[in-house]
Amino acid sequence: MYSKYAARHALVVLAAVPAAALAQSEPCARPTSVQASFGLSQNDRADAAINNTQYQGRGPQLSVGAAANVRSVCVEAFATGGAHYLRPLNGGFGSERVLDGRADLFVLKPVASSATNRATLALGLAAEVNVTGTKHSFADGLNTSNYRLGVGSIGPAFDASYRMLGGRVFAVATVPLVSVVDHPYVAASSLDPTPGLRVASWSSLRGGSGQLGYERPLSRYLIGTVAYQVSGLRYDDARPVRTLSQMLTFGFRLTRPTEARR
Amino acid sequence: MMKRRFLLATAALVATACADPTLVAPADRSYGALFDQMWHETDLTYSMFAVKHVNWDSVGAVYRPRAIAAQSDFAFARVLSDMLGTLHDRHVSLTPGAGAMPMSYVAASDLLPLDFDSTLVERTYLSRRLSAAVAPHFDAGWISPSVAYIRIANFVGDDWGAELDGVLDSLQGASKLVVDVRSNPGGNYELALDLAGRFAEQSRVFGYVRIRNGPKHDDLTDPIAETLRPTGRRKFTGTIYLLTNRRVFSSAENFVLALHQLPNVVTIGDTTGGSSGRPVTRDLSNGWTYELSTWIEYDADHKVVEDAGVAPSIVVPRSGSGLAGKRDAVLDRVLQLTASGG
Repeated sequence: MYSKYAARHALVVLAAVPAAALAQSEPCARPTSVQASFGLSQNDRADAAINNTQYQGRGPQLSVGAAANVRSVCVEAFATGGAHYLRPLNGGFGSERVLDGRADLFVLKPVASSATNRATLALGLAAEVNVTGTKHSFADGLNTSNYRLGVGSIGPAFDASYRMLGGRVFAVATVPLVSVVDHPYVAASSLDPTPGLRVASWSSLRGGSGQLGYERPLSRYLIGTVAYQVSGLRYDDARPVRTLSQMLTFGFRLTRPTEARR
Repeated sequence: MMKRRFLLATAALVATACADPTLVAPADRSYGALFDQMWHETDLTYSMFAVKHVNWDSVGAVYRPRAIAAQSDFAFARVLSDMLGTLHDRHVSLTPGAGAMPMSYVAASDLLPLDFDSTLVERTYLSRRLSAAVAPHFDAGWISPSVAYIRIANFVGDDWGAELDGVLDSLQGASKLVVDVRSNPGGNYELALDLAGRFAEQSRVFGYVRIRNGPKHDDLTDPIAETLRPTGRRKFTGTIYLLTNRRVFSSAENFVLALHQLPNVVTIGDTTGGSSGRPVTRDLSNGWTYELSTWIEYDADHKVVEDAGVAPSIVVPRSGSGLAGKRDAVLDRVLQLTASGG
């Protein structure tokens, strides 16, 4: 009952998108739409501000997103977040509770497509903000400390898709060129709550994120998606950070009937 | 056929997502590697090398051969603890395994006889004691018909600051108040300031801290002001005698520093212990943990608190032999002052 209401409500929202924008949608790989997906993520982290051990954990992950085609420019936004319990690898000690959130904004310009639009390629820019809060429980079982890592990046992005298997296979990738990082040197304190932002270039912060997926129309309004996302970070600070996040999600994309393409 | 391909592709994605990537090499747990780990982390984190006049490179050179030569975990722990002991910092300690007793630095002054006995105060001075059910974290009552007494034994835990409002309600009618934090070892910094705020009518800067923020020993933040902010619903506006001794440490010293700024507070007793470091816990790869100070604290006049402590306004010299005569010299002095209208 509730899902029917939500679906109808989403369609009303979609109908409110200017017709001029929808008319330009064809060059973009994804139609103007809203999407929600749910899945499982695996977080691997090694943050020397905490210790030199790699921690790993899996947990549920929720993502929401929207895509709009505006004057032949494909604008896509995603937000995802999850809570994870991480255990040490390689016989380490302690444990971590991680709360992370990430938001991405892609602005892509289609640069090539086959005559039948079977294959598309778009290039552009991506802005990404990733914030992680970690509560680390030490091996003594008594003490905990809170740490945070915030990274905002801008870099090039590409989006390619190919129609096959009754749907569309797509790949999206971005790498950070310039980043702003908040990574406290020691555990967070009530006396220094303000982020100590530092600019990091490619020489000190390397990473990237990508998504490989498949989507297929399930009805006139509904597109089913399955995607594997991976993002990694290598920050060579005085306290180096290495993270790798993998996520497998299943979800739905709601679009106007004319936008659901085969 | 199409479905099978789709399922195969999904299975491949699931398999990839379940892989165990290696981000850092597995830890070496030899005594040499563990020693290096602790020495290096202390080098990167500890905030008071300059205050303590310690050459950490030399300390490492002296203790590393001893660590490598250790014949047992116990002997190895002793070497690490001795190395940390060269910092002469009560906030620096080693806990060699979950459940083990921390191995901490003990200063010579910590071994002197105590000049304070809370049970003596209860037996000899305190009347009309408040029930522990009303104020489980306080020992409160009256030491004369017009002078109320509150003892705060520690600042351990969270969120019991509001309990002090009830205590102050119960002590209405007092013209003077004794707040006794002698032998209070500290605890939660935020809680200490929350309690101190219940005696403040306006915000006041009471000190500064510089927090370690980089790999060099002098990488410290600019001074960050510590501010006492009013909290709670009831204020005591009469004279407050704040009792201190050499066993007041850490966040209890923050409490003393904060109240020291209030015009109606008279500190009396002995200088506080001089131990303020905001310790953080660090892990060793063998499951042991250790704690390191991460800040340097200064009083409102920008003098370092560590090792110096906070001197009282009125000094009551310690007897040197503990509680001679079974009287509390500091409380007797307070009673003298209150009797003379001081």
